[in-house]
Amino acid sequence: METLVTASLIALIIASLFSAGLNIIKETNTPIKDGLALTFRHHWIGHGVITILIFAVSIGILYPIVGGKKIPAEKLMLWSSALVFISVLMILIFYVVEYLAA
Amino acid sequence: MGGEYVLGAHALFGVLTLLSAIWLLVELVEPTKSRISRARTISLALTLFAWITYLVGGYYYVTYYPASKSIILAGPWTWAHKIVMETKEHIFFAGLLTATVMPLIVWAYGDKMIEDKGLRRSTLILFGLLVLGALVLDMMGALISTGVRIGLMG
Repeated sequence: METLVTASLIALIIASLFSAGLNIIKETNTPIKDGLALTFRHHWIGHGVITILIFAVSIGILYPIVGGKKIPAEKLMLWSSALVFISVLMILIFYVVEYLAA
Repeated sequence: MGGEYVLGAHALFGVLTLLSAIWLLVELVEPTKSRISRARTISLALTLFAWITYLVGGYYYVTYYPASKSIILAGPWTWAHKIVMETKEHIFFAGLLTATVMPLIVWAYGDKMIEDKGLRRSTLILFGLLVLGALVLDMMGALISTGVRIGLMG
Protein backbone atom coordinates (compact mmCIF):
# COMPACT_ATOMS: atom_id res chain seq x y z
CA MET A 1 0.00 0.00 0.00
CA GLU A 2 2.84 2.42 0.85
CA THR A 3 4.44 1.72 -2.54
CA LEU A 4 1.15 2.65 -4.20
CA VAL A 5 1.06 5.93 -2.26
CA THR A 6 4.64 6.75 -3.32
CA ALA A 7 3.90 5.96 -6.97
CA SER A 8 0.61 7.93 -6.81
CA LEU A 9 2.19 11.04 -5.29
CA ILE A 10 4.92 11.12 -7.95
CA ALA A 11 2.27 10.47 -10.63
CA LEU A 12 0.24 13.37 -9.18
CA ILE A 13 3.22 15.70 -9.63
CA ILE A 14 3.84 14.47 -13.19
CA ALA A 15 0.18 14.72 -14.23
CA SER A 16 -0.35 18.18 -12.66
CA LEU A 17 2.72 19.67 -14.32
CA PHE A 18 1.82 17.94 -17.60
CA SER A 19 -1.69 19.38 -17.41
CA ALA A 20 -0.35 22.92 -16.83
CA GLY A 21 2.11 22.49 -19.72
CA LEU A 22 -0.54 21.08 -22.06
CA ASN A 23 -2.80 23.96 -21.12
CA ILE A 24 -0.27 26.57 -22.20
CA ILE A 25 0.73 24.62 -25.33
CA LYS A 26 -2.83 24.10 -26.58
CA GLU A 27 -3.86 27.71 -25.89
CA THR A 28 -0.88 29.03 -27.85
CA ASN A 29 -1.08 26.45 -30.68
CA THR A 30 -4.43 26.40 -32.43
CA PRO A 31 -3.71 23.16 -34.40
CA ILE A 32 -3.13 21.27 -31.12
CA LYS A 33 -6.32 22.66 -29.57
CA ASP A 34 -8.28 21.86 -32.74
CA GLY A 35 -6.74 18.37 -32.87
CA LEU A 36 -7.88 17.69 -29.30
CA ALA A 37 -11.37 18.96 -30.15
CA LEU A 38 -11.49 16.84 -33.31
CA THR A 39 -10.35 13.67 -31.51
CA PHE A 40 -12.33 14.04 -28.29
CA ARG A 41 -15.35 16.18 -29.35
CA HIS A 42 -14.09 19.03 -27.11
CA HIS A 43 -10.53 20.12 -26.30
CA TRP A 44 -11.29 20.05 -22.57
CA ILE A 45 -12.45 16.42 -22.72
CA GLY A 46 -9.21 15.52 -24.50
CA HIS A 47 -7.20 17.48 -21.93
CA GLY A 48 -8.87 15.59 -19.09
CA VAL A 49 -8.62 12.15 -20.69
CA ILE A 50 -4.92 12.58 -21.49
CA THR A 51 -4.11 14.00 -18.02
CA ILE A 52 -5.92 11.14 -16.26
CA LEU A 53 -4.20 8.62 -18.55
CA ILE A 54 -0.79 10.16 -17.79
CA PHE A 55 -1.62 9.84 -14.07
CA ALA A 56 -2.72 6.19 -14.35
CA VAL A 57 0.13 5.12 -16.66
CA SER A 58 2.69 6.90 -14.44
CA ILE A 59 1.45 4.91 -11.43
CA GLY A 60 1.76 1.68 -13.45
CA ILE A 61 5.32 2.51 -14.54
CA LEU A 62 6.46 3.88 -11.17
CA TYR A 63 4.98 1.15 -8.97
CA PRO A 64 7.67 -1.49 -9.71
CA ILE A 65 10.41 1.17 -9.79
CA VAL A 66 9.70 2.69 -6.35
CA GLY A 67 8.84 -0.66 -4.72
CA GLY A 68 11.31 -1.47 -1.94
CA LYS A 69 12.94 1.97 -2.08
CA LYS A 70 12.90 4.12 1.04
CA ILE A 71 11.27 7.34 -0.13
CA PRO A 72 9.98 9.30 2.92
CA ALA A 73 6.24 9.87 2.46
CA GLU A 74 6.28 13.11 4.44
CA LYS A 75 8.87 14.69 2.11
CA LEU A 76 7.06 13.42 -0.97
CA MET A 77 3.80 14.93 0.26
CA LEU A 78 5.50 18.30 0.75
CA TRP A 79 6.96 18.13 -2.75
CA SER A 80 3.53 17.18 -4.12
CA SER A 81 1.90 20.12 -2.32
CA ALA A 82 4.48 22.57 -3.64
CA LEU A 83 4.51 21.33 -7.24
CA VAL A 84 0.74 20.93 -7.56
CA PHE A 85 0.40 24.49 -6.22
CA ILE A 86 2.94 25.71 -8.80
CA SER A 87 1.04 23.93 -11.61
CA VAL A 88 -2.15 25.71 -10.52
CA LEU A 89 -0.37 29.07 -10.40
CA MET A 90 1.04 28.48 -13.90
CA ILE A 91 -2.49 28.11 -15.28
CA LEU A 92 -3.86 31.12 -13.40
CA ILE A 93 -0.96 33.38 -14.37
CA PHE A 94 -1.21 32.26 -18.01
CA TYR A 95 -4.88 33.30 -18.30
CA VAL A 96 -4.34 36.58 -16.43
CA VAL A 97 -1.47 37.48 -18.77
CA GLU A 98 -3.53 36.42 -21.83
CA TYR A 99 -6.42 38.60 -20.68
CA LEU A 100 -4.27 41.63 -19.95
CA ALA A 101 -2.38 41.26 -23.23
CA ALA A 102 -5.57 41.06 -25.35
CA MET B 1 -32.67 17.02 -17.74
CA GLY B 2 -32.40 20.82 -17.98
CA GLY B 3 -29.07 22.59 -17.74
CA GLU B 4 -30.05 24.26 -14.47
CA TYR B 5 -30.46 20.86 -12.76
CA VAL B 6 -27.13 19.64 -14.10
CA LEU B 7 -25.44 22.84 -12.88
CA GLY B 8 -27.19 22.47 -9.53
CA ALA B 9 -25.94 18.89 -9.20
CA HIS B 10 -22.41 20.02 -10.10
CA ALA B 11 -22.51 22.75 -7.43
CA LEU B 12 -24.04 20.36 -4.86
CA PHE B 13 -21.35 17.71 -5.33
CA GLY B 14 -18.69 20.43 -5.39
CA VAL B 15 -19.86 21.61 -1.96
CA LEU B 16 -20.03 18.01 -0.70
CA THR B 17 -16.43 17.57 -1.85
CA LEU B 18 -15.41 20.72 0.03
CA LEU B 19 -17.26 19.64 3.21
CA SER B 20 -15.70 16.16 3.03
CA ALA B 21 -12.24 17.68 2.63
CA ILE B 22 -12.79 19.95 5.66
CA TRP B 23 -14.16 17.05 7.72
CA LEU B 24 -11.17 14.90 6.74
CA LEU B 25 -8.77 17.67 7.70
CA VAL B 26 -10.42 18.10 11.11
CA GLU B 27 -10.26 14.34 11.83
CA LEU B 28 -6.52 14.35 11.13
CA VAL B 29 -5.51 17.38 13.23
CA GLU B 30 -5.45 15.32 16.46
CA PRO B 31 -5.86 11.75 15.19
CA THR B 32 -6.94 8.82 17.34
CA LYS B 33 -7.85 5.30 16.24
CA SER B 34 -11.55 6.15 15.99
CA ARG B 35 -10.84 9.39 14.09
CA ILE B 36 -8.59 7.55 11.63
CA SER B 37 -11.35 5.00 11.13
CA ARG B 38 -13.81 7.81 10.29
CA ALA B 39 -11.20 9.55 8.14
CA ARG B 40 -10.81 6.41 6.02
CA THR B 41 -14.52 6.37 5.23
CA ILE B 42 -14.65 10.13 4.61
CA SER B 43 -11.65 9.97 2.26
CA LEU B 44 -13.52 7.48 0.06
CA ALA B 45 -16.61 9.72 0.04
CA LEU B 46 -14.40 12.71 -0.83
CA THR B 47 -12.96 10.94 -3.88
CA LEU B 48 -16.41 9.77 -5.00
CA PHE B 49 -17.86 13.30 -4.67
CA ALA B 50 -14.89 14.82 -6.55
CA TRP B 51 -15.33 12.42 -9.47
CA ILE B 52 -19.10 13.00 -9.62
CA THR B 53 -18.44 16.77 -9.58
CA TYR B 54 -16.03 16.31 -12.48
CA LEU B 55 -18.33 14.13 -14.58
CA VAL B 56 -21.47 16.21 -13.98
CA GLY B 57 -19.59 19.49 -14.39
CA GLY B 58 -17.93 18.21 -17.54
CA TYR B 59 -21.29 17.27 -19.02
CA TYR B 60 -22.64 20.74 -18.18
CA TYR B 61 -19.55 22.47 -19.55
CA VAL B 62 -19.65 20.70 -22.91
CA THR B 63 -23.45 20.67 -23.34
CA TYR B 64 -24.86 23.82 -21.74
CA TYR B 65 -22.01 26.22 -20.92
CA PRO B 66 -21.47 27.58 -24.49
CA ALA B 67 -24.75 29.56 -24.14
CA SER B 68 -23.63 31.03 -20.79
CA LYS B 69 -20.22 31.80 -22.27
CA SER B 70 -21.82 33.88 -25.06
CA ILE B 71 -23.81 35.85 -22.47
CA ILE B 72 -20.71 36.52 -20.34
CA LEU B 73 -18.63 37.61 -23.35
CA ALA B 74 -21.40 39.97 -24.50
CA GLY B 75 -21.50 41.63 -21.07
CA PRO B 76 -19.06 43.75 -19.07
CA TRP B 77 -17.58 40.87 -17.01
CA THR B 78 -15.67 39.12 -19.84
CA TRP B 79 -12.95 38.19 -17.35
CA ALA B 80 -15.50 35.89 -15.64
CA HIS B 81 -15.01 33.56 -18.61
CA LYS B 82 -11.59 34.53 -19.94
CA ILE B 83 -9.79 34.26 -16.60
CA VAL B 84 -12.09 32.62 -14.03
CA MET B 85 -13.78 29.89 -16.10
CA GLU B 86 -10.72 29.09 -18.18
CA THR B 87 -8.63 28.75 -15.01
CA LYS B 88 -11.34 26.81 -13.13
CA GLU B 89 -11.86 24.21 -15.83
CA HIS B 90 -8.13 23.48 -16.05
CA ILE B 91 -6.95 23.64 -12.42
CA PHE B 92 -9.78 21.25 -11.60
CA PHE B 93 -7.71 18.30 -12.88
CA ALA B 94 -5.01 18.86 -10.24
CA GLY B 95 -7.71 18.89 -7.53
CA LEU B 96 -9.39 15.78 -8.91
CA LEU B 97 -6.15 13.80 -8.92
CA THR B 98 -5.18 15.08 -5.46
CA ALA B 99 -8.59 13.95 -4.18
CA THR B 100 -7.98 10.56 -5.81
CA VAL B 101 -4.69 10.10 -3.89
CA MET B 102 -6.25 11.08 -0.51
CA PRO B 103 -7.79 7.71 0.42
CA LEU B 104 -4.55 5.90 -0.42
CA ILE B 105 -2.65 8.16 2.02
CA VAL B 106 -5.23 7.80 4.80
CA TRP B 107 -5.54 4.03 4.39
CA ALA B 108 -1.76 3.47 4.18
CA TYR B 109 -0.52 5.95 6.79
CA GLY B 110 -3.54 6.62 9.00
CA ASP B 111 -2.27 4.64 11.98
CA LYS B 112 1.26 6.04 11.66
CA MET B 113 -0.09 9.60 11.74
CA ILE B 114 -1.21 9.12 15.35
CA GLU B 115 2.43 8.98 16.51
CA ASP B 116 4.41 10.56 13.67
CA LYS B 117 3.96 14.35 13.87
CA GLY B 118 6.10 15.03 10.79
CA LEU B 119 4.01 12.70 8.65
CA ARG B 120 0.82 14.22 10.04
CA ARG B 121 2.02 17.78 9.32
CA SER B 122 2.89 16.92 5.69
CA THR B 123 -0.48 15.22 5.23
CA LEU B 124 -2.31 18.22 6.69
CA ILE B 125 -0.45 20.58 4.32
CA LEU B 126 -1.46 18.49 1.27
CA PHE B 127 -5.04 18.06 2.51
CA GLY B 128 -5.20 21.75 3.48
CA LEU B 129 -4.20 22.64 -0.08
CA LEU B 130 -7.13 20.55 -1.34
CA VAL B 131 -9.53 22.33 1.03
CA LEU B 132 -8.23 25.70 -0.16
CA GLY B 133 -8.49 24.58 -3.79
CA ALA B 134 -12.06 23.32 -3.36
CA LEU B 135 -13.02 26.59 -1.67
CA VAL B 136 -11.46 28.63 -4.49
CA LEU B 137 -13.22 26.49 -7.14
CA ASP B 138 -16.58 27.00 -5.40
CA MET B 139 -15.98 30.76 -5.27
CA MET B 140 -15.00 30.76 -8.95
CA GLY B 141 -18.27 29.00 -9.76
CA ALA B 142 -20.15 31.77 -7.97
CA LEU B 143 -18.21 34.44 -9.89
CA ILE B 144 -19.01 32.77 -13.23
CA SER B 145 -22.73 32.60 -12.35
CA THR B 146 -22.61 36.28 -11.40
CA GLY B 147 -20.91 36.99 -14.74
CA VAL B 148 -23.87 35.39 -16.53
CA ARG B 149 -26.40 37.42 -14.50
CA ILE B 150 -24.52 40.67 -15.16
CA GLY B 151 -24.34 39.74 -18.85
CA LEU B 152 -28.12 39.23 -18.91
CA MET B 153 -28.64 42.66 -17.33
CA GLY B 154 -26.66 44.14 -20.22
